[in-house]
Amino acid sequence: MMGKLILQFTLLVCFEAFGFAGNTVGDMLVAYGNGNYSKARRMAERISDKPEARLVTALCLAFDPVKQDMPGGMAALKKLYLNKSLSIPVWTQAALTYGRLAQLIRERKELYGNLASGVNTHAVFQAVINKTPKSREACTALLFELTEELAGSDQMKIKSAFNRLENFCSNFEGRREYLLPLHLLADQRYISLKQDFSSAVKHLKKAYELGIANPRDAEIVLYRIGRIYDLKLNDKREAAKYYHKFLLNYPESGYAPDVRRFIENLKRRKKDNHEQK
Amino acid sequence: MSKNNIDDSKNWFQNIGLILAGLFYLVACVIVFVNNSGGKLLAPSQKTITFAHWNLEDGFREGYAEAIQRFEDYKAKQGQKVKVIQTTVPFRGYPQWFLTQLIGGTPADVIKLSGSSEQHNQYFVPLSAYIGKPNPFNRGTPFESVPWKDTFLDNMNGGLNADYGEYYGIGINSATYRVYVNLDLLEKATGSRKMPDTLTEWLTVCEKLKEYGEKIGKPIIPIGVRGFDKRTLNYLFYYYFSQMNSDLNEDMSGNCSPRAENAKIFEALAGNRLSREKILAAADIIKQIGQYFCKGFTATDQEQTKFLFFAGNVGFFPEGTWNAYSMVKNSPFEVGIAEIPVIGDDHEYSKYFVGRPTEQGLGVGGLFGIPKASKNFSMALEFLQFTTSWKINQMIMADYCKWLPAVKKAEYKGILKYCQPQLGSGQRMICPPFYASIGTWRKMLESLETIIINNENEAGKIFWRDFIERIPLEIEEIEDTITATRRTMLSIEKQRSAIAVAGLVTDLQAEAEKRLENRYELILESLISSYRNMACYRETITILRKLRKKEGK
Repeated sequence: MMGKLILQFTLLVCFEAFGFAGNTVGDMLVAYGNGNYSKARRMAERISDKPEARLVTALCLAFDPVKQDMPGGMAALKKLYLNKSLSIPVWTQAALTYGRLAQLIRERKELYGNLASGVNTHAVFQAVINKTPKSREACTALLFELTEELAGSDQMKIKSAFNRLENFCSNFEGRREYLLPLHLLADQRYISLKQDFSSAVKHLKKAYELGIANPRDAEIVLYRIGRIYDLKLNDKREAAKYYHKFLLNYPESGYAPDVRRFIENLKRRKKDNHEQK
Repeated sequence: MSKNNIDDSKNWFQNIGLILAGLFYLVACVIVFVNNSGGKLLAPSQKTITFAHWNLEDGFREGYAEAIQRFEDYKAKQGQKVKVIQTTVPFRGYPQWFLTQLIGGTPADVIKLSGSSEQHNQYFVPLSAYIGKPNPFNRGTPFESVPWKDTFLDNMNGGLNADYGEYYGIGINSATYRVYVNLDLLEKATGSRKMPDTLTEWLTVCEKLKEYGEKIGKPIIPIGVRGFDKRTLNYLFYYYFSQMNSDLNEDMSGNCSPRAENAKIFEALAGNRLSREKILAAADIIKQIGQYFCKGFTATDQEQTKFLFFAGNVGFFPEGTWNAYSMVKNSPFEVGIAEIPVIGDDHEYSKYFVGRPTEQGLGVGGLFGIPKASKNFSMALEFLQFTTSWKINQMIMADYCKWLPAVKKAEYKGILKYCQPQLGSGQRMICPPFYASIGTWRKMLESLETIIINNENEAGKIFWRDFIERIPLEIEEIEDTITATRRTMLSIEKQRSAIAVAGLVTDLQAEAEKRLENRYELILESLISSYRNMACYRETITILRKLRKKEGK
């Protein structure tokens, strides 16, 4: 029994020492994807000549809660971003994370100081959009950029950001599903910045049709479409259509009794209007 | 007796003591070793999995013991010897125990979730790969070909961890809130076993119970409460506030939520577009009800109140349905179960009454997950599927512990008929807007406690004064939440990049690729929600400052 254990232990040590365990790029990517940073980093060290390994090392530096080194991670990501010879998928991920981290770091100066002050995030995100215009990453890059541009008080900037958003959505040649987060952001910002419920509901409808991943949000979005038509746009016909759609899709929802009441209210109002005429 | 004899007998006793200590040590070692081997030492072909939770309520462990027996029999029929060990740890120490087990790398194979969503992501196996497929143990039921997640009342929405775009736990039950009534005592005090329907009737009955106690010289408590953790007070306030203000869900909802938003309520109050009396009426109602709590209600906990109820000293006990069976089973008298009375036409606040809040769309709770450290993942998953299958979930919940099952189309029988969700008048509950987080929540309830204890004449006014005083603390809490949301954004980016990197694997199967895409989408949706929430928090801070200024502070 003891001998068996010693043999197993020796084999395991040899296996690790000579690098037989998880030597492939795929294993390393899976380890990182599963949040196993120490394993991913160890594997990346063994195949450090591979671009994927350099990407994983940079991301581990930025995100590993145990051995986080944000300046090191940012420097490594920048190096990858500036490397023109990388494959497009690796470069895109490096650039996207580099730009996004720069945005987040800038918002937390008390922690990171001026670490990201020199990063031109617009250029980074634009490069991602230009290089992979039909990809999910292009949509994500625009989303990241617009979260900043559609937050300030400069009306010119806001107008141009909305134009950019609309043009991008209309001309996007990739899978329409990738646009879903942009539609959700548009709904939010059209209401909060311009009280433009008509544009907001247009984007909400598109988001719903594309299939919102979070089932709770999907339910709320359909409910909100009906409410916006009913209360803000005074389009009772469309409101009734979406209320009925809601009851069809979510009959057991906590909002369903409300929606039934709204439908009754609409019917009552319609009847009253008829009688007045 | 000579000195030598005394020394000899001393040595003899010492030796016996040493031998016994040695024996105990050996026995302890053997027990620990056998337990750690998971029973493999005694039965090498047997597979053992462990199952841990904190539920000591009546019937819960017994229900699971029955399910375990059936699972073991089922596996035995398949030719596999399986043993499931059920472990319970009292709730008070459970969060610490849970985390220690996870960090130590020796958690149970199926364990009730506690802790933060970050811990779930770090230590638990993501289950999204399994919930889209039918539960194999639902064969021969109406859910035979229905995806596992769609067999639950809430379609497993309660199990979704939106921060990580994953499902780490499967729920087992649902719950409502009811008032438990000592019917014998009710009859003695009022001459009838009829339970009160309206608030005025309830208060009248409570007065009679009080008088009856004085007459017989026994300390009768008309309404028992969980005062120590303030849960009863919280629920009653929430419930009566909803009866009068749930219409605000329609008028005061906006971009942030389909429910009434605090910022909008405060704005309407500041602009005199909303009646302050209506908003504060619930504080006065709580004062009226609170006069029938026991004198030291702030220090009584759930167990003490249950004990007093079983002893026949309490008339009414408002509490969750997870305690229904315990209340009925342990009381030596007939227990009535009723909905909390509504504000009737005969009450001064009937002018504000908008309806009894609905219980439709209740969530599913009591999540169980499988730790990454489990050495028997497939068996643990099978056990989880077995216990949450349509028949077994109903057997454990409805037949044994009398909890509301988590599955759809469950049969509500026995006392569950009184606990099942009611449609009410279709109004959704509304959260009182007088707190931001746990600190101000506690302060709000303390304010209500003081109002009850002092039997304040102008309860609403005092409650409002306390709220205005608390605004700086509330703003501080909201600012903390904004900081936490910013931190979450870094965590969201960490997740996004991890999913994107996993997507770089060249030979991904179509199913895995689809799952990654779905998670990517969930993460970005969660990011947008975070931005939405931050904007709403800022709006609330602005309007709170305005409100405080208007009140001359």
